[in-house]
Amino acid sequence: MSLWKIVLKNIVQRKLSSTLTSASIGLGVAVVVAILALRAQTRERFEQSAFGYELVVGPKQLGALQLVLNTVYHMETSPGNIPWSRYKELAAHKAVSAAIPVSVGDSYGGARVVGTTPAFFDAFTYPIDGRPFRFDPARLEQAMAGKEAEGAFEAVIGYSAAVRTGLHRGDTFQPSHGVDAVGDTHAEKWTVVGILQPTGTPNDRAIFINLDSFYEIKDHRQTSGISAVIVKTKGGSSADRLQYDLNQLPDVMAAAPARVMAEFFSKFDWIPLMFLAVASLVVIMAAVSIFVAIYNSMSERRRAIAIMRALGARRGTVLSIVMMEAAALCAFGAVGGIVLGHAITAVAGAFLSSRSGVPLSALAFQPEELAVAAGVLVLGALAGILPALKAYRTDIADGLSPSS
Amino acid sequence: MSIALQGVRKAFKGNPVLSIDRLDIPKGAQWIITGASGSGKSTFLNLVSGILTPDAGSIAVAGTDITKLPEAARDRFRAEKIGFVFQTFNLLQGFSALENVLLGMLFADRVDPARAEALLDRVGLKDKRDQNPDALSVGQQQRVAIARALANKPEVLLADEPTGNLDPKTGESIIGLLKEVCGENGTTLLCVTHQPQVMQSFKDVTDLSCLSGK
Repeated sequence: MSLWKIVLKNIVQRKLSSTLTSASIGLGVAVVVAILALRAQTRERFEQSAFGYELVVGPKQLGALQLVLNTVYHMETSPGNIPWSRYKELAAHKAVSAAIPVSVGDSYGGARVVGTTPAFFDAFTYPIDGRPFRFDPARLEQAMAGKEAEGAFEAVIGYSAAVRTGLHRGDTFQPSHGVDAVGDTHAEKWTVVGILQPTGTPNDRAIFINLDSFYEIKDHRQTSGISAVIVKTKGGSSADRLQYDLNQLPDVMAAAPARVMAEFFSKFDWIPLMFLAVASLVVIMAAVSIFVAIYNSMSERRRAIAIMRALGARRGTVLSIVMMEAAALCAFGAVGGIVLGHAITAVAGAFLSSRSGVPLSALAFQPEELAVAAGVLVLGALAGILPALKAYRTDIADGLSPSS
Repeated sequence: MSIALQGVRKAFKGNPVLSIDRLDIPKGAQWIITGASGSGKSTFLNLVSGILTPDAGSIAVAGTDITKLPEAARDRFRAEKIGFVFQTFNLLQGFSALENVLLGMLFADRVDPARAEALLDRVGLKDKRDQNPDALSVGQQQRVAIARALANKPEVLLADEPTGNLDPKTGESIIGLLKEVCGENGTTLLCVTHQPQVMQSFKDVTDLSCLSGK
């Protein structure tokens, strides 16, 4: 027998009321936890050096956000092309350690098709089950000049894209023009030669083909431009300097994905804060409901409190019991809410991941959750103060009288 | 002496309820406290147990003047030295018979499940330990209350109309049990009643009406 056992008995005796008040706390906490988890992870995942993408260089006519979303996250549409010569200049630049050309505009089975070179897999050290596709620079130059040339049509598929399309190594497929899979199907067939192991990046959702084959597509021939160039610099301040220099050019722009995404999220930071405020109000209202439930039950508990006092329980003891009960109801709500919050994160994270390719974990625990749990416990104890004072003031003789 | 009252006065809202110039109750005594309605029987028990404090006078229980103790110390004293048996049993609903006895031990920091079980065995409720009060007969409920009152080996057991809600036969067995267990432990038993058949079973009967001059 302990005070906690008395508290639990009191809670069990009022099952319905206890369950409802705890559940209301839990719902509020769940929303707070889910918002905290999604907000923190979304920012972290989108901003974490954008998965190693230091700079992306693309056409000037559209904004940096669209360039980043298109090149890094395989979202939105391609904002146009930059001349192949710009890629060559970048590849030869003394501050650049790797320049990787990408061309987009096709899709297969809902997965974006990205034309690039094997340097892409080397730059990001992505492990491949199978082998990278072959790349023939001479064939690329010929295709861009409008000349047909024999060569490989090979693909390496991102892990999720392989699952989604059902393609395996050795399979062939025909992409369609456009990113929404309603365009014309190209006549050319690509063979899957490798499947990327999961990278935890949006590249899991994409299909990569050799850039020279991209320009062998009948509709793409004689195109001497590419969608973008992914650039890795030699470090130091070279990225900033290079970005500045590129942005002085009339036809290209350079964007640092991490910075672009940070600016993007900072513009919308008020949205999760607003949700947090609403969820906090829900928690406070739930705490008020705990106060009402316990306070209203004090009349029927008067005799029980008087009995305990007659048995030697001090005023402080009965005060503690009532406050512990309020705190326990909040604790149950907080624990349930944290579990439910992570379940919501799992569902919402899966949805966001399917849209963005950015993996969000339901198990990632935010330090703020501890503060939420502690805050809810304090709130519960506060909600218990007035009923506890009522218990504290209970007159033993009156409480034990047969009429009470 | 187990209990000694001297010059005790108690009034509620100016109305005198109890006035005892001197009353000494020896250790191990088994007394009936009786009196007319309004003679202050319940007030007497509440004063002896420290639930109420007198307006004047001193009350010594087991050698301690409880009127000089602060409230928290009186509560502790009550938990350790006083056992209570009520007319309406006052068992906590939702708690088993065993848990009700353990509750009596909790506030004296003497939780001892083995002793609680032994006490229930002693009052004849070996098979009813896990039953909740509402599953017990009124006689069984009063037996649980007696076991709870004895939980901390009290110096004094106060019984307020313990047979008031019982039929005569059950009442007789409860009084017999009270006298027996108090006798075994040398516990002073003060039993408030106005039932003649209960009074007949005690040698010492104190009429508060006479003591208070009412």
